[in-house]
Amino acid sequence: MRSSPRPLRLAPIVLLPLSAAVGCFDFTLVGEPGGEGAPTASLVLSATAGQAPLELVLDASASLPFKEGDALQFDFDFDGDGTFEIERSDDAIADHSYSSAGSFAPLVRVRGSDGRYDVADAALEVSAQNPPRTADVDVDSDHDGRITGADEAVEDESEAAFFGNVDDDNGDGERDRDDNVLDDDDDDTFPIVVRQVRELGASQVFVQVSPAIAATRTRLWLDGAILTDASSDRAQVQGAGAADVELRLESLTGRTSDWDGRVEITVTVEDGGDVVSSDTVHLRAAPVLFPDNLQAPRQLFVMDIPDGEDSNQALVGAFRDSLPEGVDLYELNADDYFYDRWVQDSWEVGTQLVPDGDGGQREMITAMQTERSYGGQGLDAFVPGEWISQGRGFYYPGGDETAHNYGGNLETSPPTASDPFGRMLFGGGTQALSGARNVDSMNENQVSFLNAQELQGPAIELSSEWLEVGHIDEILQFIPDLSPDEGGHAFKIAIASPRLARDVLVGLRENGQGGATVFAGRRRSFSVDEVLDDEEFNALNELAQARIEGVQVKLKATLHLSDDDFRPVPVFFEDQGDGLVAAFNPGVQNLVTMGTRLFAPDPEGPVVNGEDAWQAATLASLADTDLDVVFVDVFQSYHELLGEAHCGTNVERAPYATAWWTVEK
Amino acid sequence: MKKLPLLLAVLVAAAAHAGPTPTVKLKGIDPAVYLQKRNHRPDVSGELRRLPAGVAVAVLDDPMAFVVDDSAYPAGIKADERQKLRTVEVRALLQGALTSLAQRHDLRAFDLLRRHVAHDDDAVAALAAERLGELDDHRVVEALAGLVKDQTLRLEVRAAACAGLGHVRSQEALEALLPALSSSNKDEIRTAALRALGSLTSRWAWEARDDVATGDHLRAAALRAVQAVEGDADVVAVRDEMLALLR
Repeated sequence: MRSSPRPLRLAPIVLLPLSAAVGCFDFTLVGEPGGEGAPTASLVLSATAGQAPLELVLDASASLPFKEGDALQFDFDFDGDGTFEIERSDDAIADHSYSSAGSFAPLVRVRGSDGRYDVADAALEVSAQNPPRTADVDVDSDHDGRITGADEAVEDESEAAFFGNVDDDNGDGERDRDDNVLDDDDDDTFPIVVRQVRELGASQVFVQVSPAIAATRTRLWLDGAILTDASSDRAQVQGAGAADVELRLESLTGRTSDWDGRVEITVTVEDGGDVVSSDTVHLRAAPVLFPDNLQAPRQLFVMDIPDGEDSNQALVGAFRDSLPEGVDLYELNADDYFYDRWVQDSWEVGTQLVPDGDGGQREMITAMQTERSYGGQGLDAFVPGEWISQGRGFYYPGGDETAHNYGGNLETSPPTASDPFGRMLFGGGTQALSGARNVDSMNENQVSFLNAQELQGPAIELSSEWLEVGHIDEILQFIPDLSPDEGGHAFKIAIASPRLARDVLVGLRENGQGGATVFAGRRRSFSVDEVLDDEEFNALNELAQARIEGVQVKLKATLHLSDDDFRPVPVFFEDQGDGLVAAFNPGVQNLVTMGTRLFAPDPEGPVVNGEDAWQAATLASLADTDLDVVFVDVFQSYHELLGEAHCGTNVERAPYATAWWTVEK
Repeated sequence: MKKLPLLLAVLVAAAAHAGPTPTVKLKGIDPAVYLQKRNHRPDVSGELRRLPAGVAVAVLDDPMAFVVDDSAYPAGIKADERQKLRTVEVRALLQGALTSLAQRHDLRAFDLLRRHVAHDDDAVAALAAERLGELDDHRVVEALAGLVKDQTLRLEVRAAACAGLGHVRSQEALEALLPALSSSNKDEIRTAALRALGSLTSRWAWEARDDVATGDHLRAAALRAVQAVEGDADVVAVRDEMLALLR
């Protein structure tokens, strides 16, 4: 049911000349439906589907006059054929009986006293009468967001979509799945219509949820009470002998490693224990799909750290000044979270989507809360405490704690022909650069959760265990390519390159600039010669280059990429004393993509003739992407604490437009 | 490259070690400092790896004497979490002390590193083995070769010993690594040896040493050995990565 803002096949109606005024009412229609000065029409049906004969109430009482106090009159067209069976009624409510099966679009035209008018329609499906004692259950099998006669035809081969009720509609601080209440305003449950069983007599109607695991992950509600749940996967459906009965499916989770999200609902008509008739429909939980950096940004999260030598005002200021139009800036309070500035790490934002009944998709923004213990004082408290709200929920796979779990160690590649929703990438492995063993990776719970979503999997593990923090954002980031070659991808991969960093310095030395300063003005700084003459530092960086090239080989093979899809940016690494390494200079690839603008860490290379040589190398490498690059000082605010700009931010992005239920993977 | 000037706090800590309890904290294991870092781990990269030799020896002798007291942890950190943090703080202290002694080429370093190869904590034991390779001591190659061959040792120690040989950058070290490539060894040892050969023959390192000719000679020998390596997918992936480096 809906009040329609759409102009509806009304051209012949608009042209219909009506008689002159009676009393103070002008019966000549004026202007376009919903035009300037027109009232606002609303139409609500007492049912949107049912078996013939169907007694229906059409209610236009929520219609509003343009001017308060202006009287309204109502014309009703019961079947939407352009002929109004009732005209100029003062009563906003009409009754009608539909005696035959069909799809109808009942319509109300609401007139103001000056003849200006508006229309609203609704969709109605009237199905043929089932034979006596026949079970019939319908869901939105055809994914149009409504339950209509068309669903019956595809219900055997199609799965209706639903998502986990993990947001917080009523603001009680709990996920709605946990509060055992089906709120009136909770639209995160999904209708299942058990059709009226004629001549039921002494027989009974039952509903069964299967497989068994699905019954433990879902609930069926009827009139605000739980019908089935983990304690009982079968229940009697009262009232189905008198009228259609609408059940509501609530899911406690989405897809998990031990449940593919599939549910079968079977309705049976039983007589003395014998099944007289049955009907089954199929549903499936929406996957959580994580957007890549090419998806339009909606909101950027960063912590505001205003004071101290590790203040991040350079980064926050850049965002305040230069975010693209339409992107909201969400500044987290440092005092609330123990100055835990690593906003990237405690959650990864995705979306669950279902059909919205309007040809589009209805979304629940859904985060994966990572296993990142911070004593309950850091950003592990943000999603379940501050962020959760109506339309924003989360899943928490849990598992063992390791820095490899964090959001910085999770990226989504943009869609390609073979991966229409991209692929999830995470880091891990078994060896430090030197060859010493260091076995570390994202925990199994999280990887299983990602793979359970199916459409962006299987997730690809890239070697990152050689890094002190262990995140793939320390070595790569997907960025848009605004001018791709014909047939090429619309993205590039900015990838850390010790080789490029070194080549720049070698070039300076060969031009007599070996004394130029890296990190000028910082607590520690080095000449170009010092960097190039450090044997262990150079050995380590050549091994880092080799490891990164190994990552490139794997990416090329799994994502079907070419060398041209990579754009090196100058980044050296250095030993952290425990056998692992971290970026020596601010890692340029650890950047924030905001549409066509990149907020990139300032690499703070040697400045010669007023030009930062590493900045220049970065710009040259990225030049053909046509992106706007903004270099930001993150040296003390993030870099010296083992992170960079990307690590300190999180971004909500628009979901993919492609409907997941249309894609085979 | 330049070393940072030592923190005054470290010197005070060294002096204080004569007494029963140090009165100052080392920043690297101060929770108020390291919990701000992205990995939440104690920081070996700062003053811990630059401890004065005397302090480093004292740390190895009794690391618990240098840890912070409970009041240093943020309120709200639970007891079991605090215990986990304490464990990694002790590890960082030991790793820092071992690294410091190795990089200072302290005369006591060989024996102390050798002793810590048997430490219960795999990460400490492995780091001790790898840091042996940074010493300027004639006993290093023989010691590391022995660790690599000793099948009674943990894989972590044997692999780290390979890594240590990679730091030595000599003909003897290369010859000590070659047997580890044999298929009779576990994959963990073979891949460690492959990566160690990459380090040992690093072109960039030999250029920094200004001895490109020796580097080229060693690299050619390593290339021949690496080309002959066969194995499962993990071994082949590392082999191919090193072949790309060596060519």
